[in-house]
Amino acid sequence: MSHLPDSAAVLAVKASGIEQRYASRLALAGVDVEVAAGEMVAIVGPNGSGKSTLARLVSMIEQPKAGTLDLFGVTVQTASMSLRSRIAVVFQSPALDPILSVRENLRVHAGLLGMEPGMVGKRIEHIASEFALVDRLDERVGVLSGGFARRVDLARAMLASPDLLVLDEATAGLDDSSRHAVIGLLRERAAGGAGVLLATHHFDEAELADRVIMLSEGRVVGEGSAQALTSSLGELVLTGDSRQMPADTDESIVCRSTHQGWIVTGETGRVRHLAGELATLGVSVRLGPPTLRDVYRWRVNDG
Amino acid sequence: MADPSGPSWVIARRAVWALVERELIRLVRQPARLVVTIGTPALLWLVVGSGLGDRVLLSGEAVEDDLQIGGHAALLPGAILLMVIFGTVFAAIAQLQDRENGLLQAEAVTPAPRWASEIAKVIAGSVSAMVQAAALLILAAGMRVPMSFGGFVIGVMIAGIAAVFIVGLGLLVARRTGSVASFHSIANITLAPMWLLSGALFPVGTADAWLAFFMRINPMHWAGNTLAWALSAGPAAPISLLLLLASSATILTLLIRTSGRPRPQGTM
Repeated sequence: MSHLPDSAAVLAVKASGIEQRYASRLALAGVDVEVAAGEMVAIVGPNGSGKSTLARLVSMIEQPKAGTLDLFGVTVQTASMSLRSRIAVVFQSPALDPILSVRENLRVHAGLLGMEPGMVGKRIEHIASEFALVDRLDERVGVLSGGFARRVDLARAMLASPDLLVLDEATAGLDDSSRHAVIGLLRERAAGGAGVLLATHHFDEAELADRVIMLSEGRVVGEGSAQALTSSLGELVLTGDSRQMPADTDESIVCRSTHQGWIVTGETGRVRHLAGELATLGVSVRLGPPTLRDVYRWRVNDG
Repeated sequence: MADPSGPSWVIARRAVWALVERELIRLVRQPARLVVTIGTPALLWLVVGSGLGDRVLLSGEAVEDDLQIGGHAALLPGAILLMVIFGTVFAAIAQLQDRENGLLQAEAVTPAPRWASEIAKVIAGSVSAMVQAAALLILAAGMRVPMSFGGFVIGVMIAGIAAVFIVGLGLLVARRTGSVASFHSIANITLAPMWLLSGALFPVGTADAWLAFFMRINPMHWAGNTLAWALSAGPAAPISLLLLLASSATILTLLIRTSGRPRPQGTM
């Protein structure tokens, strides 16, 4: 039986003005998020920005204190447990039992999903083949490398072909090639029609998403495609990490200090000229097209 | 796409079964856990039982209930209860480790009910207790401790029922604690005194009045009484059996009904 969204018009995630509070700390302050079927959305921001809180809400681990959160058109406050069968969650650490083999871990998860026992074996073989795990199905998870365990964890999450995949810092601790391999797998899932919500502090990962939502202190500070966000800073930016900010002597450029230095944007020729002047003075700078990190630093004076 | 759905009770049944299977695999793959759970109580039973000799006077509730039996027979119920307690400690530690390793969080985002993990541990603990009790009883029979086949079967079943209560209690305690060390501290001041007052070491009839009161309200005493009756080491204990069944059912209900409640802030 298929678990495709009920109709193309129904969003996998529709959060409106959601707030979450822990004691006196406001973790999310009126955040709006939408994820459509077949779309990969990255939530990016540093630790404490509210990414994990948002992931926990969408995973139905917690319920928002205010605002509305609908998953596949169903409000989570009134949703039945069966809605969870359409959602898979991957956490920062692989949720696998090291004493059990890969196959046994997948079988336990199939049981938790309530899968028909007769189809569990076939489904495990299928997902193992998809994730290149066939040769290691009977190895204990405890002996696997971090990257391989993460792949098993993703296979676990994909076991029932979820309609929505939520990942909370799921690439933590992986090297660059493993991280990009994971993102590649997620892109394939999105291409297959699943909604993907990726919470990450890696800006290079977020760039690979269809849409990026930037969070800072529980508030959305930027939203759009990676290209739209970066082009909002012009063609070139000049960044430096020194305490001394360049003197803003020309109206054609704008200079802004950040926690980690400064950032200059504006008319391309003038930015290039300033870069040359600073280099002559021996100031260490970076000149290049704007990245998502630059956009984030620009908008929140941080990053 | 695969179909994971079904009525909620079907999902619950499949989830609990999968988790019971996991617990039993874990038990088999951790030989040290098996050795401690079976070995230590069996050694205590062998050594202390031999030290007590052949004629131990067991005082019942009334003078006419007094029985004279061998030391090994007298200590058998207590040794079985001790096995169940050791099993409980491991089950509770496993639950705490599952929480620390994120396995409980991963289970919480599936359609399986929140209580599935704890109920699976209770069932696995009960199965494990029955296997361990059977092993000890076979050893006891080999050492000519008097025992009927019916008594053997009932004794094994009672060990399983007692495990439902004791493992369930351990899991309720583990739910309120934040670490293995905290659980050990609480277990030491709850499970150990409960075992001491179970009748495993001295009968209720010889205890001081205040101690006898605490023994009579102790579910582990009801389990010990029932085991002693099944193993012909004590008088008939129908009330204890009923109370044991009721406490096991109560613990199961508590585990299920309170499973969705978050752990209170500031627990140890």
